[in-house]
Amino acid sequence: MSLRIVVCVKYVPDATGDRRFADDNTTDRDSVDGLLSELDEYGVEQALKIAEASGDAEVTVLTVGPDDAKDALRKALSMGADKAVHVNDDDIHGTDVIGTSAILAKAIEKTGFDLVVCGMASTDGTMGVIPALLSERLGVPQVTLLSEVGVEGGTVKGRRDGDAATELLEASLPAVVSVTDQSGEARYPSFKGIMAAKKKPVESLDLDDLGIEADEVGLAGAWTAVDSATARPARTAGTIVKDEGEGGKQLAEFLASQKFI
Amino acid sequence: MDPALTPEQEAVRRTLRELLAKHSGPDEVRTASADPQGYDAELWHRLADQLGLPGLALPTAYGGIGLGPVELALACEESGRALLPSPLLASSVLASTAVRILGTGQQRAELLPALAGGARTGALITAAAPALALGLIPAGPGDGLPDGTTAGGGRAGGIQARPAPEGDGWLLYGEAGEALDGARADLLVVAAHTGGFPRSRTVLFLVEAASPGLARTRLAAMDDTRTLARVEFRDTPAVPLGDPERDASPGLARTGLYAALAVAAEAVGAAEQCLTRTVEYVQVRKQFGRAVGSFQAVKHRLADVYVAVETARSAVHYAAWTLERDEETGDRSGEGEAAAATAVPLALAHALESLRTAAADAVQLHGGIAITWEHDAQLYFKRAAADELLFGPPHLLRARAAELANLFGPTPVPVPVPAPVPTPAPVTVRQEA
Repeated sequence: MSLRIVVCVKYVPDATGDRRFADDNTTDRDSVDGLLSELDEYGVEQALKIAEASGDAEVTVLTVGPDDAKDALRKALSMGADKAVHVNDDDIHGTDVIGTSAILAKAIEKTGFDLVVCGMASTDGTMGVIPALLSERLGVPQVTLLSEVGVEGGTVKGRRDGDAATELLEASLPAVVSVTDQSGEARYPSFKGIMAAKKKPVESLDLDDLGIEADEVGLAGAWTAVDSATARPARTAGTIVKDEGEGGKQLAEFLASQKFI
Repeated sequence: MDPALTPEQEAVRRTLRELLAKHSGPDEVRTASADPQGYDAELWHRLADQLGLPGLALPTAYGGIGLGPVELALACEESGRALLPSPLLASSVLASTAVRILGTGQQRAELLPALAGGARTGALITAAAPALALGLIPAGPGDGLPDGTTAGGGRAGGIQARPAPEGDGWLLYGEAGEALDGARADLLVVAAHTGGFPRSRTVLFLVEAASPGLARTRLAAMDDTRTLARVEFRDTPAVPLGDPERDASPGLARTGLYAALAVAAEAVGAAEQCLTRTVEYVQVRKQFGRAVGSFQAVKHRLADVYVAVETARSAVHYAAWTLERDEETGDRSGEGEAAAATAVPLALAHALESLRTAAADAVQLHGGIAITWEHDAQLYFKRAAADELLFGPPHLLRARAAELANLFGPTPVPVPVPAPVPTPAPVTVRQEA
């Protein structure tokens, strides 16, 4: 029985672009180019490494997103994933992290899985809680924020580098893991992979296919509501302290006035 | 034709652009060209192993990716943008294409997989500048021969081949003054002249790097991102590529089309990079209390550069498409090849001019900083000048396209059917002295 790996990926607005909110305070995806979240590339990379090591594995990439999110799937397929699942429904617009995890969990169950791999967070929402929510919904163990991961027999083992300690963790499959940007540079899609991706299957699902009611997700179903958003004020010029004998004192005064000391 | 790129073509371009942006910035380019080898071997192996760049346009049967001229052009646009020093042009385009077109089945099977996989590099050695040797510009004046060959071996003159006095090998004698990648390639594909005057023909030969009588010296080139070498042959043993009895000029000219396309695409990428960086700079550089980019004199100039770059890109994509169509249809009528034979040199001419314009204006609009060694504008300017010397000049590329399209040649006039003439008296065969 082959190892079934599902990688959750997100199609995000390019972080180098000029990102802003749309009128309903959701992320504006039209005015800026989207791409596969860089942090999810690490997830794809680790999933592919695990698949290569096991020799008998199937990697499915899963995303929830608008039509353009196919781009993210295509990139993951070019990198070497075997097939893709795209959950796309107009009613999903505005869904929060709780709703997204519900959709992902249903889609993962439908696909069948032994191991779910996620990135450490998305580069737009940066919530970073999807792996934990998924493990709760799927009822399987979670091993998150790994900088090294591997599967041996029926267990997934990994290393989590914390500020104070390094933890070696393991869990029996099926399980959910998330990997950090320290897990190893993601590969570039090879030209061969790019051409092969064209022929790989992409399954499209909507909320009906997953048995989710429209009011459980979307902007209305979100547990959080964004009332307003204000753009970050432009950076102001800093204060320059000139050392004319009193430099140290002035510096200390400045820091004290800003309540740094 | 549908001029839009397919998602796969976009992905090829994007992947290479991302990788080169990360691993081949201006500093890396300078370090790599200062290297004795002239390129970053580690990066080249990475491009080979991870992406499959060297085999991009080679058939899958020989370990390539099996993509066509359009993808090749897109890849070269990216390598040109970064001024990537690499064996891409000399090995993957020139040498590999020559072997693919002219080699025997066995030679292709033996040589191409190593070239496609990046394990070995090749170079095409021609005594004349590539533009002349590959038939991209008209042969020199005063040749006197109807097929355009010049005395002393025509386009291949400068390196002569003769059958070895013993055994069935061949020996090469002569030298190539400025051979792309001549000093570092593992396998040399050498265009040589043979047959003397009566059976004058160009034949390609394979020479291994360790052959006796071979001397290679890397030259200090104006454009350091491409390495040039003087390659001398003193009775160097060589193996013919393909049939030595047949003239390789048509195959060499076809190889020339791929090289011209690659150089043109590199020029477009480099020109666009000049434009991008200049546009960034004029928005930051302040004079008289405002960004210099807000002055009309600067704006109009940059608009002209933009037009030059975009038209050149269109011309290059069209040229790539004519080559691709010719490959796909496998049309033996020669119509497809004729279309490519004019479209490619024209695209190259336009691309070289647009790079010259973009690089020169980048120097002007950056002001004094651009003429410092530390600034990158000089690298692009030198690439523009060197490309013209190797693969130009533009006006001769256009002259060649006109020649091939028979633009100024004699117009075929309907010939009146001649009245039957009496059979001439039999001619006495002249006796040889």
